[in-house]
Amino acid sequence: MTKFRESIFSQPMTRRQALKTIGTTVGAGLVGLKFPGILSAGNRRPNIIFILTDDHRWDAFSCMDHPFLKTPHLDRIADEGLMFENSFCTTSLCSPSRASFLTGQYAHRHGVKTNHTPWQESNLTFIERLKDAGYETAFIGKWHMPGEGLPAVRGLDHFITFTAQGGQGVYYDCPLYIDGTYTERTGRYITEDLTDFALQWIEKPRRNPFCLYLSHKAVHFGFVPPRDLDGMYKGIDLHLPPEADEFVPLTNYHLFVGAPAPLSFLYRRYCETVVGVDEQVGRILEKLDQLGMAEDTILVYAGDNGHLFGEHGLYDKRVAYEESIRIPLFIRYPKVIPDPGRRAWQMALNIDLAPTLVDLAGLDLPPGIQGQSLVPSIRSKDAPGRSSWLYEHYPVYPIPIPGIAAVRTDTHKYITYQNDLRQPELFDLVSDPKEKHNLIKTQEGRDLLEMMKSELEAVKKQTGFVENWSTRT
Amino acid sequence: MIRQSFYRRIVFPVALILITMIIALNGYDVARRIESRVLHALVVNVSLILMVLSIWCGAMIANTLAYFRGASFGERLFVSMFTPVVFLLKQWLGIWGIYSFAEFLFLLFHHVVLSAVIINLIGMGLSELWCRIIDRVKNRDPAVKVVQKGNAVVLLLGAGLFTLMFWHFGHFYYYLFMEAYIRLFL
Repeated sequence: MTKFRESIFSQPMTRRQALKTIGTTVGAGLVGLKFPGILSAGNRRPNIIFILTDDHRWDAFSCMDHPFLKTPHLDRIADEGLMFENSFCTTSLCSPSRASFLTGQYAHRHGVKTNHTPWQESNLTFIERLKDAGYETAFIGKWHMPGEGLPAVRGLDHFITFTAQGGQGVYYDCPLYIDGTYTERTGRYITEDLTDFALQWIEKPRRNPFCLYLSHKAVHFGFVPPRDLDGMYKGIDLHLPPEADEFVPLTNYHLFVGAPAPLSFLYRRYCETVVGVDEQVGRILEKLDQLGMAEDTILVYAGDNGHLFGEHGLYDKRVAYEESIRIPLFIRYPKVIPDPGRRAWQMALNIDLAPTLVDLAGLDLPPGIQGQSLVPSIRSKDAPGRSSWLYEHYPVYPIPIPGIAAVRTDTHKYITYQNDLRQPELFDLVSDPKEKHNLIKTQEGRDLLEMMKSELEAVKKQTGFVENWSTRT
Repeated sequence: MIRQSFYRRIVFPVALILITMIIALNGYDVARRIESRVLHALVVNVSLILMVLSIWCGAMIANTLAYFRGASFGERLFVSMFTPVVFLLKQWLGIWGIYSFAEFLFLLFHHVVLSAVIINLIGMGLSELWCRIIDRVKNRDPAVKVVQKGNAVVLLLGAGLFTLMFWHFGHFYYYLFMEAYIRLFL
């Protein structure tokens, strides 16, 4: 070492050599400012793959002891990583929740309050933050936030999406916009088709780390599994909840939701569609293994919201009950997780994704983020978690569910409705996890009510929530 | 056809379908609270059958009763549409207070709100056909026309609206409705 240092510094330098050295140093510095990822090859930032599915319930996995579903590949992410078993969405609806994942903000902040209110192009996404740090970025799949034409999302190198059926897409033959070019996809099954594009992106030779946002249509209604899986759960006992019956989707306000079929038919197809997702996630895991990238890649799997299949006599989502607001959230990153297979107890939210990924990439959080980085909980099972959080739901025309503001703590939930159109609800989640006994008119409820009201006001204040249920933009 | 009393030709058919619907809707909602699975299933299934008969097929039954009790075409139309309109109001009023008054009014164009009325227009039209066929054959009265102007209008109106609103499982009309909603209200 000493000899090397001597050989470098003991030699006299000509003026030309000196100018060349200065020029190279300044040039490298400028490149570093523009593309910091390139210069951090020695301590390269991790690749990021975020897989988001639609309406995937938190318990629709074999690793969640589902009575018949087999999801070995999704289980593998949880087994080799971390499962946040108390994960929730802050609004149980596709578009608001998707915008919350991207921005780390509540719906009342990012503005996508329902599936009909447009994405605001001023919104800052974690993808843009990663792009600024030198990441190569791709968004593949369901965008589903309204606006005029295709959104101009900043920070994307590659953008594949669809607009069919109001942005919901269709399972077969779903036309795609590939970097703005309309492309027919005849004969293709959407989950497989999007995965093919994702695999192409992953295996593309590159110098910089990448961020892939793979956003599936599955497992949203109409629950169309791939042809080879169609009927695989026919005749099986579906273990529907005791208060459910076949006609839930065909009665009461569910007629507005528009899933006119018996409950068991819908749930069976839903489960078969989940298996279709599992298979495609397996292809991604296999590719990462093949390319030797599994260790350097953060893989996150999440659902945008839950789904009720007969619980409380309800179908669909939106409401503040557990089956609607719980989401799956698995994170696999071998370099950081000390105890793979752990189930984190801390309450995690969809708005935590953006700060977590930015934090894991070693970057400063962009301004305006309302979520919290989950990195402390990823690193240690003893990290403190949040004690309460706000759930909000805006009325989605024409569905007759009023606006909802609720607070969920580790042990209780207090739900209030727009203009008191429905009676408030208060549940003890420890003794009554299925939320069957509204305590609001009991002595126990009266004892708790003031505390829960204060908690709700506190989380409203903390997040800047003002009760204004209009979704007019 | 002998014109029977107001009660027999109008009140009875209306009350039969309306009360059946009220029992069915409430029975179905009560069933969820029944802990015995057998009893739960029984109440649900009976309620469902009654719902189908009263909400979706009510006009066929009510119109048939009214026809053979001598009700005029106008009376039969009233009898057939009474329960569907009550169901429409139930669906419509369900959103009262959630949205603005203009949005509330606009919901009257929604296919789910209109569905019972549309399907019962078809039901009444079909029932008119078989009532007239039976009347013509039973009474051997060639003066009874199977297809009559009012009946044809009801049937065509129902079929036309049904096609518009439920073609492609209602997707086409739904997106049309929502597009109009977004342009008008958002």
